[in-house]
Amino acid sequence: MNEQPIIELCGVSKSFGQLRVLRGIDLDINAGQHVSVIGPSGSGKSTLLRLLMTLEKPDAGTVRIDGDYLYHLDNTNGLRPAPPRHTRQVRAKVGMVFQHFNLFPHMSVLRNVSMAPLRVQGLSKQDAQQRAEDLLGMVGLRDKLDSYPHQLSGGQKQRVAIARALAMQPKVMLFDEVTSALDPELVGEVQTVLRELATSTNMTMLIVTHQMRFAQQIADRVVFFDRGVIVEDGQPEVIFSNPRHDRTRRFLQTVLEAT
Amino acid sequence: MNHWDWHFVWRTLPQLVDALCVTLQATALGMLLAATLGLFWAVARRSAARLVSWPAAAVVEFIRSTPLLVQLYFLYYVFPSLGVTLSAMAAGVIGLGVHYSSYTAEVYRAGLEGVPRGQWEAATALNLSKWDTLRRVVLPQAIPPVLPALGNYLVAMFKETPLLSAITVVELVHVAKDEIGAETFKYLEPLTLVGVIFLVLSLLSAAMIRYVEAKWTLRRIAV
Repeated sequence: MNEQPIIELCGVSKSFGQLRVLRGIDLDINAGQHVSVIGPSGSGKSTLLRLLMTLEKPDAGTVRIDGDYLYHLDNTNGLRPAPPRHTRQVRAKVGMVFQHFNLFPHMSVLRNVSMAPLRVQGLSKQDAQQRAEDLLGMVGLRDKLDSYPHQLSGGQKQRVAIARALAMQPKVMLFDEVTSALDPELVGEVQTVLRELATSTNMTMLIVTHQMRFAQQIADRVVFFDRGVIVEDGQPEVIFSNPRHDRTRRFLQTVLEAT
Repeated sequence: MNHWDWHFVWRTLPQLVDALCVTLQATALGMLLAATLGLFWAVARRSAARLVSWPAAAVVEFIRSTPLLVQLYFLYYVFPSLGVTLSAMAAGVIGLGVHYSSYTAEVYRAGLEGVPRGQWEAATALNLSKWDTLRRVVLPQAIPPVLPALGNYLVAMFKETPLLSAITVVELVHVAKDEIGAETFKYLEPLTLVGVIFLVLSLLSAAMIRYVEAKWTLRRIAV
């Protein structure tokens, strides 16, 4: 019943200069949950993902991944800041897909996906390529192994990026507005891949998105952020059809009118 | 009035060719040093650890703000009294290489800054080591665009090799002036030839750099 959450945030705060982007976030996410994170721009949802990927460091609070502190060492006499080596070890359980793909432009598609398993996990070249080919097959790009990123459409690039992140076999996948930079007609193919991922695996997924319908479909839990705090957290049906908070209602009204 | 003596030219040419080899050697080795050390400075300056970045910045600033000739004199004439004795050629190569590393460091810095932050972030998300991030992700994108700028410094360094004659390296100018000239009291032919040699090689290298640059620009447009 009371299993350990795979992600535990406790009192996490982050400011950029005067701007307080996250104000003491507490959030537990269980293994296998698919969580949509929604909210206005600048509400802190991307920062949350970036903290989990160690691209930003929290000013206060603790983050635990699968029981291990991401930024701290747990000693008998309390917590102290962890050395980079420790953080690197813990973040191996997390993978991320970015809004702007961030593929490596000088590498073929195959190499983009196989490089990290080869270099970081120490797989043989053959095994790394096999894993990459399988994943690229899964995202429907088996015929693009030798292409370079600039030869691909935005949707194809993002599918490569998803395969690349999956190749490291993370327990948690973070998706940071992965369809926001795509032409409208390419959004569907990426969403399809994510949906398949959500239904066919029990990987924990955190999805930051502005596409409300997608957020509702893919998630079994929705978290609504506003001005650095979690305003509402619950099942998609509840949040989208009958939100408890005024701010949630107003936000949903605005975005749903816009689309 | 001295007039041009072709016989004399042909007779002294082999000496000049030997000297040219020394000049080219010093240039090549110096550039090798400048290219490696400059990259090291540039990466060190970007380090998050101030204990690394600050000294690197200070050293680069110091090297760049003192004259190459003085640095050469120090290496060749002062270092022996500190217990480090270098051959003239070694002192020359080190002097050129270290001095020009302060310029190539700036070039690399521009290259590194040209790599989007997202590339570093993707490398972090894939948990690549710092070394792999640099070697496999960042540098392959940072270096090609700055190759022409590096090439320009190669030419500049080539043209500064005559300074090495001040510490008795038998490079082109030294041979023309202190060997051929001093022995025969004829300076017109050897020094003219040295000038021509520098001119031709500099023009050739500049053309090559432009070619590489054009090719690179084309590739970038294609992407």
